[in-house]
Amino acid sequence: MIRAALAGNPNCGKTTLFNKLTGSSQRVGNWPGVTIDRKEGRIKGADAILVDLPGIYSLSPYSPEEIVSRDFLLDESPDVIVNIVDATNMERNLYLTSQILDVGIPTVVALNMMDAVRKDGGEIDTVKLSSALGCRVVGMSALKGEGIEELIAAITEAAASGKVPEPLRLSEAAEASASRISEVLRGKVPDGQIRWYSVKALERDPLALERTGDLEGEILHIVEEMERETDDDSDSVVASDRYSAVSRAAASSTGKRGASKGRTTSDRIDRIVTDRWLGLPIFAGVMFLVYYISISTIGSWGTDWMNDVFFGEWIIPGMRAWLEGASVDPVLTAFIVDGLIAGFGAVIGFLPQMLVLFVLLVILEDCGYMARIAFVMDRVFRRFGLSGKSFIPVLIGTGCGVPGIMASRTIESERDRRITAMTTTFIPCSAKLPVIALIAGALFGGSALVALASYLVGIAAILMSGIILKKWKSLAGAPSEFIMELPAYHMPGAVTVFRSTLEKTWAFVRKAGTFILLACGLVWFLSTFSWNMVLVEDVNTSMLADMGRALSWMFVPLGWGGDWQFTVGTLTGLLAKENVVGTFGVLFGFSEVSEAGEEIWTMVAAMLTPIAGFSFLLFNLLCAPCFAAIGAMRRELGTWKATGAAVLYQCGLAYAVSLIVFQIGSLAIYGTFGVWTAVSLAVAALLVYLVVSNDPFRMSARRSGEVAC
Amino acid sequence: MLNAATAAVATATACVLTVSAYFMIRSLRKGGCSGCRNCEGCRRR
Repeated sequence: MIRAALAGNPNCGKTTLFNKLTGSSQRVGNWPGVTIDRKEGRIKGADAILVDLPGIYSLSPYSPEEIVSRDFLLDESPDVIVNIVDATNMERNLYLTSQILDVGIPTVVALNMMDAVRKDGGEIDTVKLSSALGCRVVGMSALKGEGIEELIAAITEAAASGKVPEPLRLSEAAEASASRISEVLRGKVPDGQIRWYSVKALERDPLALERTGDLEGEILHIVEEMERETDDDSDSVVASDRYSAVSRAAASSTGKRGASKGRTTSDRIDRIVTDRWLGLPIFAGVMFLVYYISISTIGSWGTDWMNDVFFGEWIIPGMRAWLEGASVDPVLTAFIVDGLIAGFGAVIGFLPQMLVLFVLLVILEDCGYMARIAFVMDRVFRRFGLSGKSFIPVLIGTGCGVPGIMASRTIESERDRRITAMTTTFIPCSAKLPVIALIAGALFGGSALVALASYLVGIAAILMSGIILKKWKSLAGAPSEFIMELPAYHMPGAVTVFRSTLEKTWAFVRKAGTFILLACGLVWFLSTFSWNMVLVEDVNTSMLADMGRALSWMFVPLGWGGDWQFTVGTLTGLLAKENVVGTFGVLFGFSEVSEAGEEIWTMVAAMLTPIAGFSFLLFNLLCAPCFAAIGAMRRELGTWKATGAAVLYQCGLAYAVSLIVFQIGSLAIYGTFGVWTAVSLAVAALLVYLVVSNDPFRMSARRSGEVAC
Repeated sequence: MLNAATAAVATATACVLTVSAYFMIRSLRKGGCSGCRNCEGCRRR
């Protein structure tokens, strides 16, 4: 059985190629960092296993991804390395190739995105490139499935021949020093890896030097001699030599015309969408359009049909009539119709809006626009002391907070990583969207601006937290460097869009059928019986009402503590955020209002003013996430103490923001002024102070950053 | 006294809730996986 490793730069189509070669359907993200850990699959039609490694720019041990990839290649010695190279950005990608060729393992270069090169009028001679690199080069397009068979054949052939490629030649001085180091290392490291260790030791690579044991002094003597001779740092000399070598190899294969002719269509679009001034307004406009289509128009029509016709005319009356006709016990009938179906139906009613939203977000991601958002937001994030790398988890967190939090582990700086894990869930995940849609529909006429405002508040909370938390000693420090490739724009693939949308939709339905269904059954039970297990006539005398009232006083200053149902909704939201809507479905009688042809949100509208509703929405968006996300935070933060502190911070910030919005909003709209208005002004002043006050660690962080550079 | 219809519907409801609870617990044991395929959990399977 052949064991092949797939290595390449981030976002060069590695996961797409992995899926094509293995026939699997791993998550493909059009931004870097999707592959955090390595994964394996069997190559279709070949007796071979393919290991997909995280995307890396080099084999230097600077990031967790680089260490995972490097350790695998050196310690587990695969039979073949499949090095995927983005043909539209060949020189940059070949830098990694130049290091892979040193490892002493048969290598095949998969020159991906050849279709994009051809489309831009460029051409690459794979035979010439193959001869320049000393290994087989296969031109292909993973997205379109071109060249896959040829690549599989090349992998099998390379493994069978066992032919190790010749490393790219460095400058005379570097080659001479590497050769001397090789002599020192002979017998101390595996023969096949002597070239790798020699060059890495020449670069003063700490992990390579560590493995040389007591020979380190002798090796460093050779390195210093070369540095004196070249009057430069050894790692700079080697990096420069590598770039010269890959540049020569690239030039030999592209001829005079180059890989593409000048500015591409992607470059022209990027000039506008990543513009310093236009980038953010365009992002806001795009997101508004997305929410306008999904929440206010097309998606809303579907949701109305689901509520009015599907549940209102078919499911609920049909089920009730059937159960009553069969003489089923009225309490069991009520449990099924008013508890399970009402709660499940209230959440599933939002499925059409979610479906349209998922389609649009998948299209934005697949065409390459989301990667631009990360680039645009990097500029903003850095200004607030956070790394642009923190925005990738946030982007992933728009789907689900759990993988969003997990994605924070790609950030090298521990402080940035901790802040990102603590703040990623401020961005509304798909589970919070039904809550947004409910409040928007109930109190704001279904306006898409509510959804847009929710996202902007989420981003603002992340930025504000970045500033505030960096002033704590344990979280202070300079932001990590962020480098990412911007993939060329392309038409979204119908299969990718369909599959990703289906996966997200199925995840939504599955959650409704498990967490939501069970929680709604429990909510119905607690809201139907009193403490002595007697059926209650009035829901306000139920066990649940007592439980809600025990805590609802806390939320009176936020404008929605007067009715215990909202407190219960917030608490059940800790299990899964969709539960807020499911709980309302049970407590506000979704089954009855639907049958009467009304929307569930008419009940909500009767109990809340718009400003109180917005305050409720903000609290639920910013407070502690669901238990699953809290568990993910615990894994990333390491201790329950740190996790508890993070949850407290989230709830505190949510409370402060909701208090300010409700109290100052009420003052502005209704002219009401009370004790809590004064408190909210004080809280607002405190937040402003925390944001603008001097950062005691800023200078030291900068200094350490300068030293690190 | 429970009639046959009530008993049958109660049994069916209990089955649905048991299956639902099984999948919920399975999801919780996988760290609250929603099956979105964004993280390592799904990739390893």
